[in-house]
Amino acid sequence: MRIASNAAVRAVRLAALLALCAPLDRAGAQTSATPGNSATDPLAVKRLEQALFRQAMQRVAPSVVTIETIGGTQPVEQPSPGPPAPREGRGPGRRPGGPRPPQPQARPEFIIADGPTTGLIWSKQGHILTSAFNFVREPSVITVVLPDGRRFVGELLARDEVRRLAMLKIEADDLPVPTWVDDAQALRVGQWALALGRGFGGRDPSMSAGIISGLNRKSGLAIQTDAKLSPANFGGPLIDLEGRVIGLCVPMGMGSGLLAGVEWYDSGIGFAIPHGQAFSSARDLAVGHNLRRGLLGLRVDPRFRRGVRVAGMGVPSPAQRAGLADGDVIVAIDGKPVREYAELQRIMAARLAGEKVVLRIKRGEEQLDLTLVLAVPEDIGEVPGGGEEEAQTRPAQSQPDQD
Amino acid sequence: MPAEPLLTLQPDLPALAVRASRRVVKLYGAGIGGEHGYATGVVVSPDGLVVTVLGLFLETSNLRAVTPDGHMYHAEVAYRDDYRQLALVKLARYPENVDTEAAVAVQMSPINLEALTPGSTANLYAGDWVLAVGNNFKVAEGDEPVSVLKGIVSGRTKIDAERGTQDFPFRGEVLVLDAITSTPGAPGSALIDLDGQWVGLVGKIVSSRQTNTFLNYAYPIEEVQSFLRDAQSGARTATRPARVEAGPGFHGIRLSRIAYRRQLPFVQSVAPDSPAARAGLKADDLIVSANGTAIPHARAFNELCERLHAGDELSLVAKRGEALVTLRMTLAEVPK
Repeated sequence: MRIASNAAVRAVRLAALLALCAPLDRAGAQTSATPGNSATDPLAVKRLEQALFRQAMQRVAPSVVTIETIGGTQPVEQPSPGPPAPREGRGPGRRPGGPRPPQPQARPEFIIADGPTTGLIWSKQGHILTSAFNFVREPSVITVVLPDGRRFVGELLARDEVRRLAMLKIEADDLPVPTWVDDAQALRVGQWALALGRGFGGRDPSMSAGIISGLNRKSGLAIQTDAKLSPANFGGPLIDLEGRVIGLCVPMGMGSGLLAGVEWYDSGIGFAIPHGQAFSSARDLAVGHNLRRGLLGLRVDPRFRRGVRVAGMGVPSPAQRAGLADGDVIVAIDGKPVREYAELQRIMAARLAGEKVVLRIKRGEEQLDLTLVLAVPEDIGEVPGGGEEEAQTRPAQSQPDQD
Repeated sequence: MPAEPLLTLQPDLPALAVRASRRVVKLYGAGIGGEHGYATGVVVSPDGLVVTVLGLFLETSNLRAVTPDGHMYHAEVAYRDDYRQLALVKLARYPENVDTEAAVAVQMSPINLEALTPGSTANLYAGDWVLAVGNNFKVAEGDEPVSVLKGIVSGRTKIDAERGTQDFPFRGEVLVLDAITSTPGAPGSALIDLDGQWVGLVGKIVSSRQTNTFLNYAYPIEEVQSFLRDAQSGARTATRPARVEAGPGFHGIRLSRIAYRRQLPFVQSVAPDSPAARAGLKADDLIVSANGTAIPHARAFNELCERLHAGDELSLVAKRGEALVTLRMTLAEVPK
């Protein structure tokens, strides 16, 4: 009984697959298999997949723009002070698979290339959302080429240091805005995800296929994918099979530097900013409001193991203004318990300057709730022994679980 | 009760891979320093002709090819194409290295291998699944079947690439892949589509000047066929396509020069009555793109123009104030 009904379910599923194939062929999305063969074709599923990839790409392609930058300088910052890249021996200047030749120390780890980059139409009125990575060189001139070939001068409105996004504005109207997946609950680990980019030129955006590998990564800022992301598609959309935008592809690795994450290019570890984050960022970016990382301006005692103990703060600093004192132990941020420094770092990595946070601290036997307004490093006095800005650019040390 | 199969509609990729892997060889040659001494080759004729990429590994008198049955052959380069960076290799029996396990008669018999027949990329689109079948990291030894990578065609495009400080001369269209084929041994891999067609050959490891990342790409099979035709026609060494004989081109543009590595392509002056002057280019215009390519700095403009000749078209987009202007000109002979 049960087997029979399962077989029936499979038959219905197969019929549904084949029914999906048919309109694709009629619409001209060429598949080399004809639907008639599909019942006996062992590769029918694969053929359906590739037809769907292409159809999804074509749906979003009119909203994927080319960004060209002219002038600017190479940043000399090291992209990541963290552990070695997951694939040893990859990355420009290295010989694949072989030992890395010695390099002069001052040389940047990743040389930003001159080629075009990618952006995604955000508004009908000419707002283009893209990755801040594309402007690391502080170019003198930015131009945007629409898929129809029209070229515009782009104005860089603002950047988001936390989500690694940037917003451009061009003097164009009636631009095709893509559909986003705006319900975060609708995304599933394991579902198909395609990354589109303009970095290689060509008529259509280039495409790499993968799945969603994780949700709420990077302090909840990003979606993780195994689709190959690189400077060829940073700033481009990660889309689902229906041609809806899952997120905007950005480099995000260890550390907070502008280049952090580039060293993971094409590794199968990639990140995209989903709608909720992109939307709240875009609201500020569109009005020219730069978003910076927010800091507490304090130093944590590295020897103290039973929590996060304050061991110094800048003058001035948000911590000092709120009345924190050396020796205070931070037990929670905004109601989220904090047991070790890595946890504090994880929470703070997603916080913006200007935002308020409530720190619950233990001072002796007393528990206090202090409200701080987070600041940018320029507004924080020197922190004795080095502040969190420095500490936060170091990867959180993984510590064995203690029970 | 027997376990029920989870999915009766099993994608039959293995069959495609097995068929292709019987038609590629592992090539072992010279390795120096960071250069890897091995690659992949695709058998294109039963008598032992193999197509592969040009590389340092070929520069040895002891080039060896291992066929899918584990047999080792002596190999020699029969033809080189410096423009495409491809090579044709001819396999030969190894008289001095007779395998004592096998009958001598077999070892001395004429070579008879299974060859791959070129397909077509006419119906190959971005998003289509492909398999790259090759000697990646030489993990497959002896008669072990070579490695199979799965990926999609990311797109078709022309690449501007280099290998270390050396230019990668090929300027034709390639298939960009999302499978990582820029790894030791993978160059020369056969690219197979879902119909089992041979649709491409994985190129040597180069990095893109556009993205500064290693490129995963394959020559479309039509390019490989052109190469094989050139090889057959017996030209000793193929080079870039012959240029129309014409003198260097003159546009009349002088870019501003300051001692700075990444000089912006600002127009300092335009020679009177030159093609650029007639097209309407003015001093202080900033050149944004030329012939459809973005011009990020003065050097890029000069390099592009060095490849142009009198009579060639030059189309410029320039920024004048906040506006973009498009200008077209035909290059003239350099005035005496």
